[in-house]
Amino acid sequence: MSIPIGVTSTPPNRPLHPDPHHGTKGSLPDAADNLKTDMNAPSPSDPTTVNAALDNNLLDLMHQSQGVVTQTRDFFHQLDAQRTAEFRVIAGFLEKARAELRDLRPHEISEKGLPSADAELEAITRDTEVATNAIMTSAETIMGMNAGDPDLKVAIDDEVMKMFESCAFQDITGQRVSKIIKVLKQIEERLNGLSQTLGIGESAEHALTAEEIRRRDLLLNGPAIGGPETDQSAIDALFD
Amino acid sequence: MSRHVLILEDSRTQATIISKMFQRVGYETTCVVTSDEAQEQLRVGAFDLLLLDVFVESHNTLDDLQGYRDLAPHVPVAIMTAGQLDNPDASAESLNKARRARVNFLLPKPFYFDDVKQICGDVDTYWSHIDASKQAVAS
Repeated sequence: MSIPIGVTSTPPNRPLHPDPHHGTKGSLPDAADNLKTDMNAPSPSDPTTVNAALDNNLLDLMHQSQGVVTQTRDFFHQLDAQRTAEFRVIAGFLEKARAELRDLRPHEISEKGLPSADAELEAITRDTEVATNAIMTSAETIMGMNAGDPDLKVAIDDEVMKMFESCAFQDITGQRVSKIIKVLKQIEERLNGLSQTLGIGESAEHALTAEEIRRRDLLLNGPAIGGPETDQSAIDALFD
Repeated sequence: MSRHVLILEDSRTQATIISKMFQRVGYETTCVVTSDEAQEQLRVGAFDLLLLDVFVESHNTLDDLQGYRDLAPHVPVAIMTAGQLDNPDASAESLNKARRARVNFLLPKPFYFDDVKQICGDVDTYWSHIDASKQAVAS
């Protein structure tokens, strides 16, 4: 709509003197449009009236800006409160995991438990080897004896006694194995504790790796505990 | 007359090995695995030597020493121990405890046939002295 120059105009649907209390009712863009329209208006015939209208529009705009700022501040305050709560949960979780890791005493296991278990395993290997060699030596000695020797019985008994002596390592070996098992149980218990703290569960299905499949198929898992999985009669049947 | 040893050892493998050594010297052997069984044997049988493993399961047989002596007053006692790997001081403690309790013979493990032969010789000497004392009292 064109407005003739020098003619006071009142925009349609907009009062010249808007309600000073309606600032929060209109939108901020509306107030800005009103102000722009008033500033672009033709030269007023009554400057006082025009200035008053501009003041009211500016007040209106300021009120609405203030409202927007307040709402924005409230929004970010609420957002901060939520984030703070979430970060506190995460911090608590991390602290708990850290405490659990501390309880694991990893240095104790790596500096004391594992080297000790390692030493015991070496001792078992050494003792077993020494005993095996002594037994084989006595057996060879017996095999090399002269059947016509009148002292044969005494000589055999002496060698057999050496074999018995060699088996004495078994007593200490039992204790060594118990010590190793104790270290392994400590590690198992601590890992279970950590797993529970972190909420890590076993996956329902464990997909076998290529290496595991090969070991399974080629039966490379070593001797079965408590005897062979396949009994002798079944093995014999394969050759019938 | 052969001598008779009562062996208290909770490991049957060790009991077999020790038993063979004593048999080689000419002893009869009886093996038990608990302190209760040992006391029962002492009630019903006559022995020339009582050989005790110190740590039987989690029990220290030296704690029962007085009970054995009450059942077999003159029978000499030998103790054997391998100590405990978890408690390195346990072996020394046991040996000292046994010495204070006037145990006749100490056999730290592992021991060998020569050690058993020496103990058996000492047992013969012990019984010779006992017999001599009895004869002296009788005369």
